[in-house]
Amino acid sequence: MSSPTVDYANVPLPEVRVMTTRLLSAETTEKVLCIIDKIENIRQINMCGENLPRMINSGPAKGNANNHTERRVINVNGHEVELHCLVGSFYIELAVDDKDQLEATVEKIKAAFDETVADGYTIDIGRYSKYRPSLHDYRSA
Amino acid sequence: MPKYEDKIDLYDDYGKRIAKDVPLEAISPLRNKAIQKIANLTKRTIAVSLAGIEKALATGAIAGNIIQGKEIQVPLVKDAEALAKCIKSMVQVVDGDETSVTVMNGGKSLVVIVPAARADVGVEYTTGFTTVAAAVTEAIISKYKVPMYKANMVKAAVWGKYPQTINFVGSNIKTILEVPQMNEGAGFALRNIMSNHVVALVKRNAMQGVALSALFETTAAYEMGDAVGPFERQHLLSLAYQGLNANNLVYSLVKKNGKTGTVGTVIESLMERAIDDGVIRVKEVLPSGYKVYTTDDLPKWNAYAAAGEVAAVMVNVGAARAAQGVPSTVLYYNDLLEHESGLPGVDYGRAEGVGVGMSFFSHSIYGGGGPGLFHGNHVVTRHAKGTLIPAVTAGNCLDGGTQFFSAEATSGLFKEVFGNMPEFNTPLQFVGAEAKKIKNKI
Amino acid sequence: MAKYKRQFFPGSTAPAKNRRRYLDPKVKLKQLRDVPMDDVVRLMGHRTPGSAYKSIHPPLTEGTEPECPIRKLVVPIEGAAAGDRVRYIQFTDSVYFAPISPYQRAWMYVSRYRGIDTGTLSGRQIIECRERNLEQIAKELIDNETFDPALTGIRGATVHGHSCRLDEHGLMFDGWQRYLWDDSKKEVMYVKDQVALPLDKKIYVGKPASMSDLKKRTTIFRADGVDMRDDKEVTDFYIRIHKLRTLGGYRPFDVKGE
Repeated sequence: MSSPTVDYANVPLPEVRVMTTRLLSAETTEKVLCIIDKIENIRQINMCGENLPRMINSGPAKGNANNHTERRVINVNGHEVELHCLVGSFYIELAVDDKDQLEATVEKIKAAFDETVADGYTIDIGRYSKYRPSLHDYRSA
Repeated sequence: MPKYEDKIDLYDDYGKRIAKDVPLEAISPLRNKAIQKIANLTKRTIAVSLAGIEKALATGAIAGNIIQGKEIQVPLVKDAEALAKCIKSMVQVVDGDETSVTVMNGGKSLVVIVPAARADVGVEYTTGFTTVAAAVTEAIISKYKVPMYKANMVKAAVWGKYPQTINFVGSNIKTILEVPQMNEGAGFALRNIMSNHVVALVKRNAMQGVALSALFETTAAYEMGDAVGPFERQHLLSLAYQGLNANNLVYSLVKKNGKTGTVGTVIESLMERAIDDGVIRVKEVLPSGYKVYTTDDLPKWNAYAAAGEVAAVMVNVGAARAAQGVPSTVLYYNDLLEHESGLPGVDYGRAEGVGVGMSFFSHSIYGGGGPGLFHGNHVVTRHAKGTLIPAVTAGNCLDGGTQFFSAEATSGLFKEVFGNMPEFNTPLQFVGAEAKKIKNKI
Repeated sequence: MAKYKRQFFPGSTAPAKNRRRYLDPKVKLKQLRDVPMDDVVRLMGHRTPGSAYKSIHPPLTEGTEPECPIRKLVVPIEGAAAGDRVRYIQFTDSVYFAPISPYQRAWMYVSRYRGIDTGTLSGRQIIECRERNLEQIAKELIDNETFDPALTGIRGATVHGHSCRLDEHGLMFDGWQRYLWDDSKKEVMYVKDQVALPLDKKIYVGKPASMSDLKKRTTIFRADGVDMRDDKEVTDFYIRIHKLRTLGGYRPFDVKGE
């Protein structure tokens, strides 16, 4: 439990960052999401990875369909999610009230990754994505 | 007494000796009259495209614009002889001052050499251009009695858009030199000559091309203030070994590696030669067996490295007969040489650095251009002074027809203009003969 | 004249030794696979296998070339003599211990091949050459030990991936998925050519090497492999060159015996 959590308007906003050692296939992404989706006290899950374009976007093959096998719709407990990248990181925002609840939730997340991601991952707790407006958001064009 | 102890043997483009034991200063632009004549003729020789002017006047398409209603129909090409005579009378100062106006291609163009008196009296090298441009304008106006309100068309057809632009955009008069305002810095005039122009001047003879480029670059080094005091010797050494085939170094490296060699084998041969000639020696042997070389004469090592650079381009680019490989050959030759010897590459790393930038700027990834369009005044090539452009010219000379921007396309006119001038076609022999003549007078 | 023997590169660590090996044209590199020439041609996509070579200029014959002593000494490569077009192949090398990295490819290319143009870019190395010679070179480079099916990509455009994490099969990321993992054969197969035009047949390029094997073969210094700072000869060499370039750029005539 490394960094202190942050709060906004007295609501604590801790976030778990999971970086996988390998970029995950759509199948593994589906598996891991299906498990963490059911864990309680999670406000939202964001994923990042390497972009998989729908079309070939330059060169002589420009305009062709890319047909990347990992760019597809996955099913997360009945919800269809369209993947357009090869996932390599998860940003999981928690809705927890105290330290015990936080630790319990993180343990469940770890268990989910241990079960599905064979090549390992790193996990950090802190705040990694933006959660309130800053000057940049008021900048005029 | 010569200032430097160095003595060199000069060889021509076929590896035949021209002069033996020449003191280094005999090839200095300050001492060698042949080099002075080359520089002098460079600013004095002007090409006039009468066909171009005639067409511009007939169509009203001048300096990038079309002005209708002011067309002038004049048979300039047909009247070339008469115009030449008229122009000569204006350009010449006194009889026998080497002024010459030659009609070429059945009157399509003229080659004017202005007298030295005109070039020497002022302080700027544009005199050749301005003199000829003014004379041509006046000759046309007076011969055809062009009325005052149309005379400006003649001026624009001859001079181009200048003075709205800083150089002579759209002019039908050509010189191999650019206007001073286009130079990257002080003394860059002779560096601002496109490699393709040199290729055209030497008629694609690679050894002569290297020599002419090296002469231009080294003469510019004096103008830039780079070859003054203790720095002079370095420039003369690289001119000698890289440019003028001193001790037959370049020729013998190419001869040895021409059939099957690579950039790597040129480095091998160069190291062998540098060790044998006592330029470098082993400083220490590291535990892995790697020998670190050192030198007591870094400028001379630089000259050897520069000669090897030209030989590497001749071997690799020559084998491909495709000029596009020049920058990469320069880059990786220098890099491999540094790793081989533990000594810095040509111009102490600058040539290698320039190779990186030039690779990018001479390939279509950047949007066009080719090695032929480069000169020492270019933003990516100006840093390696003296030693880079000769290698570029070598590569361009050896192109077999792969370049869109070929010398024939960009500089065909200069091939005609300088076609029969030994100063520009065979600088090795021309400069070598003068060096032989003065070698005992230094 | 004493025969000089090239030494290529300092250092005693594995990456340094590997660099010397790849650079030395006298070392015949191990051939690990044999991709048929027609498939190499298909992978590059410049011409249909079996079709004639297109030319950019007339063949070079005695008498048609300009008068130049150097042209007499330097024999044109076969493709140049025939007037072939200049074509390319480009490789992307993963930072995860690929057998060779782009910059060493450049050294190797100019050390082993003649009549080439090459360029290092971020994560990739292009080699351009007359077409028929290029095909020979390309086959060698795909067949030999500098190529690993998982960590080396044949990519003409959109090469992104060399510094990305590998995928679950250990393949370097490719947004255009030019190659796929065949789980039944445990091999990598190409389904698109180097610019991602679909191939009419699958081209197998073999089994990837193990990470432990690659760590022995690589030229890459890495903090989690062999750190360059652990090879004193190599670090000292670069410090030396940096110093001599600086001194040479200042007052070269004062540099004696450094």
